[in-house]
Amino acid sequence: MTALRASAVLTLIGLALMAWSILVPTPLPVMLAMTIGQAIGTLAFAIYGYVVVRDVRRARGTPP
Amino acid sequence: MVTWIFDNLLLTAALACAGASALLMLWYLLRRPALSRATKIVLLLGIGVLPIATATTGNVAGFEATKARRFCGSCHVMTPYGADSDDRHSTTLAARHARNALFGDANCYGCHADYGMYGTVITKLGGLRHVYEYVLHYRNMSLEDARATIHIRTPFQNATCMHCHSTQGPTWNAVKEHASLLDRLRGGAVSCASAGCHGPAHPFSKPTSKPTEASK
Repeated sequence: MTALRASAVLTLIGLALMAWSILVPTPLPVMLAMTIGQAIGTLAFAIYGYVVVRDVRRARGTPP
Repeated sequence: MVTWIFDNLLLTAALACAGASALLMLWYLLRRPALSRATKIVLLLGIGVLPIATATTGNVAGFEATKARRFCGSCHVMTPYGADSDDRHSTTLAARHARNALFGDANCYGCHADYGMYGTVITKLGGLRHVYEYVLHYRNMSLEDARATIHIRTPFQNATCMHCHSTQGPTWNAVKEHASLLDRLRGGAVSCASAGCHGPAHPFSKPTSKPTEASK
């Protein structure tokens, strides 16, 4: 659950950077959104995927 | 700005996806529900589907935004160039193209883009180099100093002009200067934007390091 909460917080940070680039389309926000913002979003999704896969393996009785 | 955003379907979609995702994330963080199948599906939407949709639409909107004159003019050293394009009474090449509906607000990009096979990538890499130069060299420079030093990196290519002005139309060839210089214009030996022809493109244009035949 801690990992998922971290993932949710990272998602919010990534979304904030992407929304900033949409509201203020100047070089710095656009570059930050397309690099750091999307990297943070990808990391958050990877954490979610890891947690779900681990949960499914536990439910099937296989070691994570 | 609000009107501009909601007039653009992509921007509206990106903001709507971002807003919906943020609401789901806040709900999860504040309510702390058990990790049931329903919660996983909500999280899949909030962490996966909606942010990916935001990034996709945001990227397309971002690339479009980089074509706008206000984007180029957002670095202070480019403001005089933007102001000249905005000036309805200016007769510079840049301003005349800005008044052309085919260019409009994208006149900087329209004339400075590369139209080769990998033109979009080359143009974007050139833009990244501009950001690098700005952050390291021009960010704290006064407008007067910057105007004195900023210059185009390589001679302006006639091929860019010929993307629209094909040099094959009867109206274009009816101009005697065009007809007499046809081969040299097509070969790039004489620049369309040279002082004796249609240039300079901007009020502050300076000769490039590689002079063309016209500027010799």
